[in-house]
Amino acid sequence: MSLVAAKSVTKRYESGGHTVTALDEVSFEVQPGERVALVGASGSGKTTLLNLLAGLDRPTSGELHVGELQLSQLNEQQLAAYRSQNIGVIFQAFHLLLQQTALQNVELPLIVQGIVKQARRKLAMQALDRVGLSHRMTHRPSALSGGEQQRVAIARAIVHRPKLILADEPTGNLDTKNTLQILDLIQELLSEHDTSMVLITHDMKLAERCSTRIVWMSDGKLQQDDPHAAS
Amino acid sequence: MQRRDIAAMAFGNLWSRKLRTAMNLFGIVLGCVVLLMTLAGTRGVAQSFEAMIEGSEDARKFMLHQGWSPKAKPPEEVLLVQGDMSEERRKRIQKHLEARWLEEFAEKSLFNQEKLQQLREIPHVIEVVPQTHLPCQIKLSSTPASQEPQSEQRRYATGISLIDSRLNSRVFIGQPLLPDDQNGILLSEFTAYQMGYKTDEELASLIGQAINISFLLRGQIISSLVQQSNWMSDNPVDLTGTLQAIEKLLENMDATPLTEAEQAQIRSVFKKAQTPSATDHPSATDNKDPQFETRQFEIRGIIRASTEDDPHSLLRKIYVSESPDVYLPHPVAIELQMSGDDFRTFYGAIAAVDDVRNLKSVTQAVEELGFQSNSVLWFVQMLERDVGNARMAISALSLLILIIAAIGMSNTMVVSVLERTGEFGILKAIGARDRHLLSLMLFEGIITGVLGATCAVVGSMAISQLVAFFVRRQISQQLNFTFTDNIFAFTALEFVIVFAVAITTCALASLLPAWRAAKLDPVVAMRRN
Repeated sequence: MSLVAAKSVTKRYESGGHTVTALDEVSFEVQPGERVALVGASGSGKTTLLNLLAGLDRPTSGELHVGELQLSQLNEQQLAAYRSQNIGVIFQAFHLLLQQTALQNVELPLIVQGIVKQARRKLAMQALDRVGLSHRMTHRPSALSGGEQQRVAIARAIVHRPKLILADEPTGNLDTKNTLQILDLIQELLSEHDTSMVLITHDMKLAERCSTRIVWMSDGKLQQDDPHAAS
Repeated sequence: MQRRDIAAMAFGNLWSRKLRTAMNLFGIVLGCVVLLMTLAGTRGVAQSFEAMIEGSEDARKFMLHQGWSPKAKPPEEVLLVQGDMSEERRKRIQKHLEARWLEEFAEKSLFNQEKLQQLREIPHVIEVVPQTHLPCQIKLSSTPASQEPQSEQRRYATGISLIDSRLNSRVFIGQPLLPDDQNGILLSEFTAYQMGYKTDEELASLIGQAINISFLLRGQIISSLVQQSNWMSDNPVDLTGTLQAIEKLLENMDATPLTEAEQAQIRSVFKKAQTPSATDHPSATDNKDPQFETRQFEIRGIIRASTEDDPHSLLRKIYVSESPDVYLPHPVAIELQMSGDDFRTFYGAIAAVDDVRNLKSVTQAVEELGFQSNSVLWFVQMLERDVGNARMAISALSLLILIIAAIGMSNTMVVSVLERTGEFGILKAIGARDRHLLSLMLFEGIITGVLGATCAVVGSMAISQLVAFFVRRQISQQLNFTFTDNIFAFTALEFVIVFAVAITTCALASLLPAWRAAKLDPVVAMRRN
């Protein structure tokens, strides 16, 4: 059974008095443990699709299944529960809370799930240790480098063992050295827990390096779905 | 999310935005301090006043004087006001008509010995001291005849309560009068000064000395008329001569062309003086003048007049405004006054009750006997009303401050939500629900309220100590009186009110920003980050 199944998913929104079709009858699947790269130019609909998968937005039409859940039928509270339990999101801009330490940032998904302090602190420390930042756990994001901040964001995405990782240009703000380190780290972590990933990027090299399948998007449509492209 | 995690996050957010938190706190603390100090201050003042009233002998006393018979009511036709006018004006005129009717037709309730006894029998009344005004002349027994002044100065004596500690405390040389002492008197320091006794040693030499007091028991009405005539005229009239002339007139009334009715009227006003026999008054010694009765007493103490800086003089002034030369035990003064020919009634009296809380019922009973009373009740009621009004006004002001603070706080929290849009977007992206964000913002408001109220309580206690110190010092310096009562009375109720108001205000101020935070679109929110 597919982990992700999108059937004729369309997303339209109003902008400046015009209706913009961001996704147009998109259908695709992601299998458990599979790493899919959505590649396309800016405005191709990659991020819109990722937002739908993250439960941050709703499709205008079509069906979107993640596991046994049909996201378009969930209410706001159920979507929030889905986000906290089933997925981990890695953003290009890291999106860490600047007033919180690295450890507190990693703890956030566990806090949202209502896990008691002692247990969540242990899990967060393990996650930080796994991304090599156990010595920086009391630092705030402003005291960390870009690469370190993204490592914290990765630790936050994996700390609650989600089934699906959604990564939106995770190395977009990093230099080459950090990009390679982060990619290797993501791959290692995904392999450890057999976690699926949908990676959004416009960088073909990045897509080839970390995905098992590449999907090209253009103008809100899937142009090519090639399971062997990244082999 | 668990509540304690939300609370911890709220604390963290407030701590990390110290300046904004401090500004919000300042407004809340200011409002709460004003509110708390108003509540505690007005309560403290009321309690201090209540304690002062309850602990004051003077407050337990009231003045009473002759009034109209309680049954005296003018007929309806007397109160009929004709003409088209406002109700207020009609009532004012009716009041005048009633007063005129009472003056002319109503029976006056005479204050005689019988009434005095009835007053003493009213429950809770512990003492009734009728006002006595006894014109007299005084002379020390030890004064040699050669040193006697040519004309004795006219003085007056009055009867005093024997259980009045305020009055007794003014005796600064010698001892106050004891309840069973019928032969002692107190001499005023002013009178002693006029008699030539100036230093403390000279005053002390007066204690125990015999003093002859000649009371003018007859001809008091004439005396009063002559006194008034002399006040209003630059041609003084001699009292003794006038008395002798009146006496002659009364003796030879038949020789005048007056009718019998007119003669009776004259007699009723100027009763003929009778020389009392020695057996009537065993202590009577020397009656050179038939108008006077002389008795011998012993000086027990020298008493000073009540002064402005005496804190209790404020209450005492309500019913005492005289400074006599000689203070007699009131039973003696009553007996002397009632033995005169002119007056068989008293004008008024000072009565004391056992507890100030019984003042109201006792004054009601007194008024039912046909007296008018004047006690501190009106003063207490006025103060209660004024304190209540002040409490309302300042409380309203403090609530206004709190509302302004709440608007300011709400404003800064709205700004805070706008600034923290990205943060809320992230929290929503990782699964935080609307109610979590709502709770987070509300917690921040509630924490601000709790902190504000706590700071206000601590601050108010400190300020109250400072204010109390200065007020006590001022009272001590100005009134020469040690004031120990609490000026601010903090009770659990005041604290509960302040905490409730502060928390409610802050929670309400947070509600709109919290709702806005909860309803943020996470995608848009993160894009703004």
